[in-house]
Amino acid sequence: MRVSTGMIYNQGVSSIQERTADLLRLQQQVSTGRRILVPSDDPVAAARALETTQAQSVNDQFQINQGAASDALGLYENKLAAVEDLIIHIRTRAVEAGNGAFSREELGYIATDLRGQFDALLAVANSQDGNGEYMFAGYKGDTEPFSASVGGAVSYAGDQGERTIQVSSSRIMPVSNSGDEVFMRIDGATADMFTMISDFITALENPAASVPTAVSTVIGNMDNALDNVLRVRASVGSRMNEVEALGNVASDLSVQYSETLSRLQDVDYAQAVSDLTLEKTYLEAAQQSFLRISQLSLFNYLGG
Amino acid sequence: MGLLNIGITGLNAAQAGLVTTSHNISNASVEGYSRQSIVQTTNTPMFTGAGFFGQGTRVETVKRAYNEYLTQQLLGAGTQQASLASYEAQISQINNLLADSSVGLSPALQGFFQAVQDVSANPASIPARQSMISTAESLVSRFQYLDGRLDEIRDGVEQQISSSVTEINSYAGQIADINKRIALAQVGGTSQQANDLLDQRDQLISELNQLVRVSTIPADDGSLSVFVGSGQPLVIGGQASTLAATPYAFDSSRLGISLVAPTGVTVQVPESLLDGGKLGGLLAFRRESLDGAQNQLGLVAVGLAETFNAQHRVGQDLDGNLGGDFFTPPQPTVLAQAGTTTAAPGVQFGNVAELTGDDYTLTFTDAVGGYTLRRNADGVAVLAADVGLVITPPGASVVGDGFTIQPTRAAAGDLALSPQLAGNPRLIAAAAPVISAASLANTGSATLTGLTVNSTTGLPLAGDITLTFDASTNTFSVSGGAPASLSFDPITQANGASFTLTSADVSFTLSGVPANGDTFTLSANAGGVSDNRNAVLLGKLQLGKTMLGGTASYQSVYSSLVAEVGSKTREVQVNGAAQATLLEQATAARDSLSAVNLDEEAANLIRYQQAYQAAARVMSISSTLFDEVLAIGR
Repeated sequence: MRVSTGMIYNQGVSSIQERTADLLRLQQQVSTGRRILVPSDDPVAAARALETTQAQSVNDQFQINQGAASDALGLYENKLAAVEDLIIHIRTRAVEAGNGAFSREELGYIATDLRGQFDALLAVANSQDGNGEYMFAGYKGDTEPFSASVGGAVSYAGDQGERTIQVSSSRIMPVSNSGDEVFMRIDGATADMFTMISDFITALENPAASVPTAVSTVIGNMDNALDNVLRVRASVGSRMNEVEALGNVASDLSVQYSETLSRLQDVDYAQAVSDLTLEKTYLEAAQQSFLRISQLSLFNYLGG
Repeated sequence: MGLLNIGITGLNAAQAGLVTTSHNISNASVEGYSRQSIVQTTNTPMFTGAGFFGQGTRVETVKRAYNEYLTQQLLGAGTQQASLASYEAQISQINNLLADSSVGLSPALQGFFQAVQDVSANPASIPARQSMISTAESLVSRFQYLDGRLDEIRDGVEQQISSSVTEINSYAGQIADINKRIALAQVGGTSQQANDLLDQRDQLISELNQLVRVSTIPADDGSLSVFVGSGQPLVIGGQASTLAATPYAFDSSRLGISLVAPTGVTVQVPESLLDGGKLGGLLAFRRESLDGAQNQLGLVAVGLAETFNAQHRVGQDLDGNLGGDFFTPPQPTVLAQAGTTTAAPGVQFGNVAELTGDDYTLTFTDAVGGYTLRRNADGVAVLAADVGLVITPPGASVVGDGFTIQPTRAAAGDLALSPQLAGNPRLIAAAAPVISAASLANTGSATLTGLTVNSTTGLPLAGDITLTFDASTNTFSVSGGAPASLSFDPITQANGASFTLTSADVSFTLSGVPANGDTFTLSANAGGVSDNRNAVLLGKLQLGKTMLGGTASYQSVYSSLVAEVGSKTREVQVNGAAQATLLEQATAARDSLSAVNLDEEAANLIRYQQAYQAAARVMSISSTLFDEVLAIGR
């Protein structure tokens, strides 16, 4: 084939340019650590990486939500334990009051103690969480849910709303218990928790009242109240377990997403560095051969 | 004819050879130059009784090393390569725009939904609400930024179309001019070719071909006629037509190409006929990639705004009011076609799930607002409702008048946060406007769950709605709402039955076994600041397949845009690389024949120098011989 002088230059320059472009790409890959620099490098992987990044971001958010759910449930667990202790204490005092040997005065001491317990229970029922929202008010977090006094009326100003947190793509978990559920609606009993205690205190303080009748009523009521609190606590406990299990799944997923992302878009360093060396050798060979060839000319030998 | 004369013919021929060789050497680096050589032939011999005696040599012509076929091949490869290169230069901008993870849409979209989740976890928290507004603002500005960049790219394309047309006209003029000069130079016939002018014209055509694909037909006078598209004449002999960049009738912001004949008649050339070259690449990029990318980005914006707004409207804000629009909803772009006098039809978004990134043409078919709607991509007639649009035609219309509808083209740029909401985080509707309560007096095991607000019909509730169970008829009587009663059979429906009221558009599930007289109450959600039910539903939209017929989330529509642009860029790059190789081969084939090799010219220099020396020697011998004859006389 006939070769023109221009062809020698053009081909020399274009092969050097090609090599330089390859080298630059490899250098970018090595310096960024990414195999996909622009979507066109691998369109399918680029789109999948976006989807995976979203999945990872959502998973991260669910992990944060799980933490929030776990904190909220822990707080309820804590308050419910306090309610449980109070009920057990009141029941114990009621059993003591059933001891026929107690004088009216001694019964008065028990009543005084129970007034304290009544106030403590009311304080728990009106507990606020870290954000200052009333825990047992349902959706009405800004409204103090309970007003009650011994011998007075009991009212619940909250609602039956359940606060929820999305803890996984398919699980929206209730993280609150309304005061209605814990203190007001007690299976097998005819009254709410405050009225039960208030009635007992009133009976203890009323010389005309029959103490043994009041004691047997309040013991039955306290047993029902305890059952109710234990039921709610068990449900909170099982949700805490569920959150923990979901947390484990989310951590596993997080690792998997990271691996998927890495596989999709990260560069294989060993391969890239080896390619880089190879390309460098090619480029040097192209440069040197071009220099040698371009120096050849018949005119070097003409004239003189 | 004597020895001296023969020597002179040789000397002249050698000199012509030297001149041609030096012309080649001097023009070695001229683009499109074809090396020239002399065609030398013997003079007519002289007949004598002793036979034919040669009479020396003469130069018949100077010819250029040229092959029509190789040049045509080079033109074809060149125009295709220029087209792909200009396509690649444009689409790479979008490719790079989407590549950058810090400016892409995904991080902003994820950041926004994380903030929604934070509000969901802390619905009463003003800082969480403020952060949701801030991330929504950055999401909106990301949409606007991306759309703005696409607009810039579009402006660049329109400008380059204009400037390409100017360049094409300049080439057409030069070619017409050189046609005249060639016709003049070769007036004596084409046996003596005006080599350098022909080379120059070939080069002009090659450069024109870099702008748009042209075809050529030679004429007898040596001029060459040049055609664009499917045979629209650009140059005929010494006459050039001009191209003009003129706005399309269906969209005045979009430039098309028209041919202006020397007579002044203007005809728009269909875009599909203008392929090849930079112009062909620009038109194809605008048609195939840019429109689609901007529409698809807009589709994400419309989908997000419409679905998020719809959910937000059925929620309740921190002040107890129904939610408003969260985003200012984008509107479809409706463009009146040139000459249309009918009032514009009203075009709104309907079912977002049906919406696609397509553009449509609406044409009126009668005088009372009857119309057909056709998809621009394939010309197929469609029903507005089937493509996610609600069209309200005007009452009076002119048959044949038309409008171009670009539902999502401008949406990403138009997306904004509702101004009232942007200034007041309390307006985020995290709560649901209805709550349910079971009466404390209930003795059965029935529960009311899954209370969902479907639309704002009947909201906010005017008063409580009470459901009271009647065990004798197995119905819940409904007071304060409609329907008047709901049948519920505890034996078959204890596992749960769903009901939707008509007085207010709310649904719920009743399950368990109610006792006679058990009641459930639905009431307005007063003071429900800790209620996050609507925020949870807003958060779920992130992964919800609300778009493209219920198959895609916002993120997946965006991802498919990235994949499409990436694939197209790759396709153009791969084709471009293949075409570059073809061009290289075609160039090598042409250069192999036509281009100058300096070594060869050096050899020719020696050859003609030696021929010159030999011819001179002949003359000197002739002179010596003459001297010998003169010497006889002394």
